[in-house]
Amino acid sequence: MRLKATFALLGEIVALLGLTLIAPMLVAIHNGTPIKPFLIPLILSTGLGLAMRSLDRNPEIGMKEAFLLVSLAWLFVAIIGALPYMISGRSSLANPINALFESMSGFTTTGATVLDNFNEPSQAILFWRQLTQWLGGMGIVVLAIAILPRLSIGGAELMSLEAPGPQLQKLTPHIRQTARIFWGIYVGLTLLETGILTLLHYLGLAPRMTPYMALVHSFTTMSTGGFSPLALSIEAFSPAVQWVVIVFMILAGANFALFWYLLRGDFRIARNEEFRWYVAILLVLSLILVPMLMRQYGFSFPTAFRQALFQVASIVTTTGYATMNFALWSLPAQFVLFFAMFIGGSSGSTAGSIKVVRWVVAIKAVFRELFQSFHGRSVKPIKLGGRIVDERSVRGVLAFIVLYFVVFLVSSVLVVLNGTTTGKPIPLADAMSAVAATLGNIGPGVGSIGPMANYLIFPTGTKILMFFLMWLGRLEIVTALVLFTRSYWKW
Amino acid sequence: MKIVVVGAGRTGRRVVEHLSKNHDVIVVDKDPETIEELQDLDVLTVEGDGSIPDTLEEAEVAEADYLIATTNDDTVNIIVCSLAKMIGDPFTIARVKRMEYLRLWGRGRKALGVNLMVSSIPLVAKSIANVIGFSGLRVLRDLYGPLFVGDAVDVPEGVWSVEVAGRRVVVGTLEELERAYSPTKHSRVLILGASEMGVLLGEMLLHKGCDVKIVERDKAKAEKAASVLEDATLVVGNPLSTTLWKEEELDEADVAVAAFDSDEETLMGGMLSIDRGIERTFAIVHDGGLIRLFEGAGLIAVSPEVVTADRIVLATRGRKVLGLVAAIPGVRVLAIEVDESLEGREPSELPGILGPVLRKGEVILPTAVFHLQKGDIVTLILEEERAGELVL
Repeated sequence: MRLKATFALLGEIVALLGLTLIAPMLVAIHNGTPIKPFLIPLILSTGLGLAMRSLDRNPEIGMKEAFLLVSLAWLFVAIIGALPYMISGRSSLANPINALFESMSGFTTTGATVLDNFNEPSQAILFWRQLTQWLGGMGIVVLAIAILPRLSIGGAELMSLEAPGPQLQKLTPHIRQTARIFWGIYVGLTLLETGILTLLHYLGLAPRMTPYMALVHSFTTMSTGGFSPLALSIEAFSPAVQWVVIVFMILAGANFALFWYLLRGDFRIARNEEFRWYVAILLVLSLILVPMLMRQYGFSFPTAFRQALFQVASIVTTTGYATMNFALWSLPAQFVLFFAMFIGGSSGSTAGSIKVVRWVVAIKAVFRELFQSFHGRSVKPIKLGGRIVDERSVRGVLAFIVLYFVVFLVSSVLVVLNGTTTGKPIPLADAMSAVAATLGNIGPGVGSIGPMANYLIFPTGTKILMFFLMWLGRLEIVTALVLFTRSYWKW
Repeated sequence: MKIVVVGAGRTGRRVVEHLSKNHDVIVVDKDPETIEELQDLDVLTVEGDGSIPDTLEEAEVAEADYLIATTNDDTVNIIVCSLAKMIGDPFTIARVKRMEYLRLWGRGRKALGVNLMVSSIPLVAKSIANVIGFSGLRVLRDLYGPLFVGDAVDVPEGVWSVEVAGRRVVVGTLEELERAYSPTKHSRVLILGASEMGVLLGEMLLHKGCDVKIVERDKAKAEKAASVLEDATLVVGNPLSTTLWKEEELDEADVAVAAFDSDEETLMGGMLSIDRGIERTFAIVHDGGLIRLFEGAGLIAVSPEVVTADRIVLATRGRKVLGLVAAIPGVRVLAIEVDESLEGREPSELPGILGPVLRKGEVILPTAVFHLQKGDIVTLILEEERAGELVL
């Protein structure tokens, strides 16, 4: 285990993150609010980062260290990101556990919040909260690979550990170029959304969507994060804004590699099996919800469809925005959303949860089992988009889904137990939706942690558990979980 | 530059390792495990059969500047080059094992759509034949024009030398080196194994006037070799048998070359040869990663894989690099033509150590206050690890 090299590279990432604190600091300077909450962590993290960097002048790491590096990077980033909340000392975020929760929720693009009063923190703090999601969306490590030359050695392994989905699709011979393309598309789409929303504002179609609001909401749409500086989330904005956000949420939940091909005039997006399933799932779930919403709220079809598609897209892409309080929906409608929490966006997107491609492979594998139960001697490879998926990958997908549900069930029980022992009983359904919402990096759940509520109802122990669930979910469990096996630390 | 490499066996991988730092490399191989092993390199991989046009198109051969075919199959390599010429217009390089193809290609250089055909057998045989009489050198290779490069055991006076990576590298014209080392003309050379490499080496050595004795276990192989090499003595028997060594007086050879097809047997044969008192024993090491092991056993290791890979890398170096010698483990020697970008530079500003310079056909030894002139051909000696990143 080359610990020195690992920490040297970790130092680079920490220092890089420190520099991003300059952005909220500029907001604070502009508004005349205290800059201390940003300046102290900035000095601390760049100093610490540069000190760690000097541990090894020529760091080289292998696959094994890559797991440690990526997992630790996300822990360190969350801790540094929590410092501004703690130092600013205002609102419920001043509590260290709450600050850590909020920071992890931000970077992992979960969007679960422990902020109760949105008027208390300064604008700069709320800006930082939005920015954490944007930085975490495409990935800190991917950003580091795109910028820092030392990380491009062995960068493909690092990137595959952080990137959502079972496999990393390299687009160019050099991993650095691929990382830059991913970040480039990400920045491009964010700017495009900001532009369109600002345009709507000046056309008079979105009175509250100022250019600033357009930018910070684009941050959290493209990252499928879901934080909003407004307590009402997207409900605060007009239907025109909501439609724009729907489109960009769906784009953010699709595989970014497909956009790259599209830019090069290659229309494989239309033939891509995962993308087709992804769109089909969004439409089918929305159409199931439409009659339910029309009956419960007396909506017209267009309104019901918009509301249904918005919430479905928000949950499936694991964004976590809301245009209405779906915690008040009828139970069957809420259950549809609960079900959607386990689907997740596409591989190579910024979305969390299980991912469409894994479900497609898993369901094909299950059907193959059925087929082979009466055709015992048959051979039937699993295909995805006409290509054979090798058996190791199939096993990996099935193991991931099992692992996901094991973590989900065990954590749900722990949440209920912790609630009972601390005298704040949590209903099982709420506990399960909260765990699904944090593990899947979604944010709001159903029941008492709906989109307009917050996670302050949970005791400290549960919040710490969820801090780790969000971390596990962002790293797709395996990357982080291997660190807790004994054999990882042995030779 | 965009470079497509088809076939990532040992030679292919070595080529990719050298090129991936400075170029956009796409590697094609049909074995999923080989592809998996490439994940530590910064390249794009395509799993598929390179002799199928679709695979080559997927690997973006249409836009490639170079196509390098290094699979284990000669015919596949040639077909890949021909196909690539139809899809795009890359400079094509094919590695072949069979000498017949090389001879055919040599007749009309553009034959078969191959711009450069590389075979390790003549390269290795020639490099051993060059140095065989020089007891003070381990390696002797021609670099460019009259300049030769050697890996010296000892350095006599009047020879330019420098120490790099623990090796004493000598550079000079062949006449200079012959004067300094006074090589023996008629050595007795023992070749263990009548492999293709062994036979061709035997042929070259006979031509130089050496006495050649070849030991081969397989009777049919030995007979075939004997029909080609009429002046050599072909002994059929176990090359590792000490009785055979005694009977055939093998230990009276001046130099031995272990040239079996398997590295294990080569190592055994080479060690036996040293044990029997032949201090100067060469070994043909197919797996370049084992060179250090062979050197540790006191053998002079020559690796066809390394020699081939370097020939291929040299071809992609462009016009500036005129010659390259990489047969000295850990060391690279380049012959570079000085153009506008290098003109006027001092020796200390170069990315390696400056060796003798060819100016208007004459050899000049560099001094500390030496200025490069346009048209000079300079020799540059550097550590192998730094050669991959060399930017000129």
